[in-house]
This record gives sequence, structure tokens and C-alpha cells, in this order.
Amino acid sequence: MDNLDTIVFYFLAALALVGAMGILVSRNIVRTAMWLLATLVAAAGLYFLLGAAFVGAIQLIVYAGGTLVLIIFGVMLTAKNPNVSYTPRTAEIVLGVVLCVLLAGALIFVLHGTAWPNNVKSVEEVKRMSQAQRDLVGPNNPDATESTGRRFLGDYLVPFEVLSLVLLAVLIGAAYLGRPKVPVIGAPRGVNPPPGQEGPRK
Amino acid sequence: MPETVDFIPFVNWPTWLEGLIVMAVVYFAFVSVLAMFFIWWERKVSAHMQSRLGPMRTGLWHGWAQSPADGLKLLGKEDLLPDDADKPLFRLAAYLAFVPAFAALVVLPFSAKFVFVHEMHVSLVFIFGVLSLEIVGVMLAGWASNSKWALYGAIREACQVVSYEIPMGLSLLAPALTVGSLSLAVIGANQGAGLHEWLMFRNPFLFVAFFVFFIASLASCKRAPFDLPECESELVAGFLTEYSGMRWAMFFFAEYTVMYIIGALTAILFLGAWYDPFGIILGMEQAGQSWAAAVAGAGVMVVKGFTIVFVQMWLRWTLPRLRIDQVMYVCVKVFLPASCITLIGSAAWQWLAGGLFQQITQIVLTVLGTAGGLYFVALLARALVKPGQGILPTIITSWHAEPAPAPVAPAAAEEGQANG
Repeated sequence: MDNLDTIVFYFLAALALVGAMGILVSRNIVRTAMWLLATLVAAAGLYFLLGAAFVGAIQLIVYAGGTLVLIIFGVMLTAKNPNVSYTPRTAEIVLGVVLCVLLAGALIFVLHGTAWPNNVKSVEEVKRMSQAQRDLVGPNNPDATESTGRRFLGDYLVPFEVLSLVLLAVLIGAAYLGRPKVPVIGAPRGVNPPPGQEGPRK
Repeated sequence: MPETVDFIPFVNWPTWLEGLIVMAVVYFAFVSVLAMFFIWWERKVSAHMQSRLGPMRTGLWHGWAQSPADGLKLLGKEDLLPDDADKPLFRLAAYLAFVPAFAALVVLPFSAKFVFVHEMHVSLVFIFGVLSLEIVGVMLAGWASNSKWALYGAIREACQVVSYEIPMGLSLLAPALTVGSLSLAVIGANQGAGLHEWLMFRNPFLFVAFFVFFIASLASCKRAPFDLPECESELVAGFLTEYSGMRWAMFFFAEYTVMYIIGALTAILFLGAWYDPFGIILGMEQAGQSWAAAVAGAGVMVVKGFTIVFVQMWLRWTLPRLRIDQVMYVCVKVFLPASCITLIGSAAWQWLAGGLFQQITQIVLTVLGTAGGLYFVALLARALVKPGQGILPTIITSWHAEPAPAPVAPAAAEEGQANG
């Protein structure tokens, strides 16, 4: 089965790379979104291949099923012409290249500087590892989901809750921005702007 | 985790390539037959609900060959491509809608021993994640068609599915939380002892979660009364307007496959999975007849899945379509709070309830649920035996040729005119 794993890995990696290149090359924003879908699904596939099924499924739900759909939805609602295309300016290209080189450098630096638990080969070494490291090692480890949950609501409770507060703030902000600017007939109390503060009628 | 046997254990094939090909062929055949059967069945159900017979001529028995015949016809049709469409995306959309339905079946268990391809310890999350991709294909179809009807359909689809995913996901977590696993095999294996052990009857919150999940799943696979993306009375055919031939058929294959997946998922999560109501299959398992139990369980599972698909059809042909603002109202103001309460409630119930109180609640809910189910079966039976006295008498009488349509009450008539 090693053979199949290798082939699937290279297929998914190629899909992710081609998708990423497609995002850069294509000018039509919906096509860009489709290339993004290829990259996201390939990343989810890589997670599945590595045995991190939970992360893979969450990747599908959050990024492919959520974020991407919202991108396309936003384009649908706002674009006047279905064949919207986007031409970057020179300054934007230069800035983008600089950022990419920096990011790639940082990633390569981290890649070389980290002691990956997957390098651990012998059973003895696995036995000596902490539970957290074991979760990273074990393919198809059924406890990985549980320990992820415990870590979120245990060790990392404060960052987790702070993040949810940020999301709540975003939600309230969106609801505020989405309020009707002109009075709506039959709207519940408090939705309509107070008299004298209505925006211009469209 | 229980030991499972894959339907197609492709490790045993000489090379993985052969295994892959055989798997794909068997799998595709299964999905096609399932979808074609459901399409024929839906036509029969709709016909009988409207006092018609439906397809009768193709094939010898009740027009059973209508779906294959339609399939052949669609294969032979010209593959139309609008001039102004975004052609690569237009072609891609049909596959993007179909593949998720295909992929979700991979981890769907049929009984304690049978899983289609591979059992996974987070199969519940996997199915939910893969199904949430189906919408991308539909939106892309609407966008790439470059037609306003298709675009309206796609926008409705996006706004409806994205919203309903939340109550659906939350209400699906309630049974997972009660059992303490995200694996469908484990969730199913916990409900064997009899009707009162079915997750739906475990506590009042799960009882509510069942209905929230069922209705939200109707919306997320865009079945009536939530079929706004297609909405043939307003949008020609919604996102399907520009499609024809085999591409059009692929959207329908996806829809009917997803209907079965949703049905099976509802059965596993709430309705006792592959166990019968009397604990017979569990008894077989405990007596060591695990193969017999697995086969019987697969039969029970299919019966339950098909029953839920039948209920989906029944609803489609009896309920009028909702308006988009009603759809959003129901989601945001009713189902979202309800699903949050069911999730928190079942968590609290796990923690607090137990002993005699738990047993009494289970019995009460079981009696309540069974009585309700039997009432609906009785209604259906009456509608079938005596057309015109069924669930929605006026609709059925108006299709029934013999008696004159019931006179409309003056108040109702005025109201109808006022609504235009």
C-alpha cells in the first residue's frame, strides 16, 4: 500500500500546487475561487492521507463549504458583469512577490528548525513520548479528536474563548452594518433608524 | 470500535489499480441504480398523491423501465452549451455537484459489519463536510450559465444552504454528544436494545433535535418545501435552466443520492440505525450470529432510509413552497435557537438525569413518538383508500375526477383574491 500512498500524495500535492498557480494566473474571480477550491480540497485530502481525518473534515466544512461559498456568494451579489476580471498594478505585483519570498523563507526556516515527531521510528521512542506528541504521530488515532477537544477546552481555554469573542464582535458588527439605512415598513421596533438620521433614499 | 467489513475490500485485489477500477464501477452502478429507482418512485408517489397512475407503459410492471429509458434518452440528447456561458465552469459544475454525493457514501455504514468503502472514526463530520461541498457545484452552475434565472437560483441556494447548515450541524451534534462519539458505527451500535433506546427517544431535547435535523436537512438538500433554487413557477428551473442532457441528469443523480444519504443519516443518528424496534438483531449479535445480524441489519437500514426518502417525497407533493423570507425566518429565528437549546439541553441532560427519571422520560417519549408516527401512517392509509379525505383534502379532490370539487368557503375565497 506504500505505493498507492505515494501516488496519492503526489497527486494531491500536484493538485494543490496547480490550484495555487491557477489562483495567481487566472483573472476571473470566480475561476480564481474554483482554483482555490482545488487547493483546499487537495489540502483536505493530504490531511486524510496523513490520518488526520478530523482536521480534513473540518477543512472541508470551514474552508471549502464555508469560506469559498461566501466568496462566490459575495461576487454574485456585488458583481455587475459576470465576467469580472482583475488586473493588478505593478506596485501590487512587487509587493506580492516580496511578501511571498518572505513567507516562503519563514516556512522553510521553520521546516528545518522543527524536530518532527514523525522522524521518531522505534516503538521505544514512541513509548517515551508525551500524549500530545503521540497524537501527532499516530495515524488514524481515534483519540486525536478527543484530545483536540480537551486541549481546546483545557490548556488553551483562554485563547479559544477570546477567539469566540472576536467572532461575536464580528457578528454584531455585521448585523450593525447590515441594518436598513432607510425605514422599512413593518420592521420590528429598533430596526429602523431614528427619525432625522435616515440615510439618502436609493 | 466494532470491526467492520468493507463492501469492496480493495486491499485484496492483485494491484491497487484493478481494485480502484472495480470499486469505481461497482460504486457508480450502485449510485445510478439507487438514483434511477428513486426517480421512478418519486414519479409514482407524486402520481398516486394526485390520483394519477404515473409512468405505466415502459417495462412490463408499472413502468419500472421508465428511468433507464429516460437515462438512455438523456445520453442521446445534444449537449447544449449557452454562447455566453463560462464554458469550462459550466461543464465543471455538474461534476462538482455530483462528486460530493458520491464521496459521502464512502463512509456510510449499512450495518454493524458493512461499510461501503472505509470506516472512519469521524465519519459523521466527514459526511457533513463532504455534503457541504455540493452547494459549490450548484452555485457554479448558476453563475456559469450567465442567465438571470440561473443566477437567482444560485443566490437563493447559497443563502439557504449556508444558513441551514448551522442548525443542521448543531442538531446533528446532539446525538453525537449523547453517545460520545463522532463515528456513525459507534452511534448506531448504541441503539440496539429496542425502541426506547433509539436516540430520538433518549431525552426531550433529542426528540426536538430530530425534527430540527430532518427539516434542516430537507432545506440543505433543497427538497420541497425548500426547493427555492429550482422553483419552476418563478425561475424557469433555477440553476438548472441552461442545462440539458446528461449534465442535467447528473444534478438529479446528485439530488437523489443525497436524499438517501440524508435518510440513512437520520436513521443512524435518531432512529435506531440498523436495529429493529424489538431488539431482535441485537439478540442475534449477542448470540454470536454476527453475519446474520449484519445482513438483517443492512435490510433494516435500507428500509429505514427508504422510509425517510418516502417522507421527503410525501412532503414535497403535499406542501406548498415557502417564500425566501419565510425560509430565512424559520432558519434564523426558529431553528437556530432551537438547535442551540437542544445541544445545550442534551449536554445538561447527560450530566443531570439518570435512573428512574431517565427511564420514565424514555417511555413517555417512545409512546408519544410511536403514537405520532402511527397517526401519520393512518392518515396516509386513509388518503390512499379514500381519495379526497386525506391530509390535504382540497388538493386531492381537485385532482380526483369523480366528485365535484368542494365549494370554497366565501371567507377563504376573499382571502385568496386579496393575496392575489
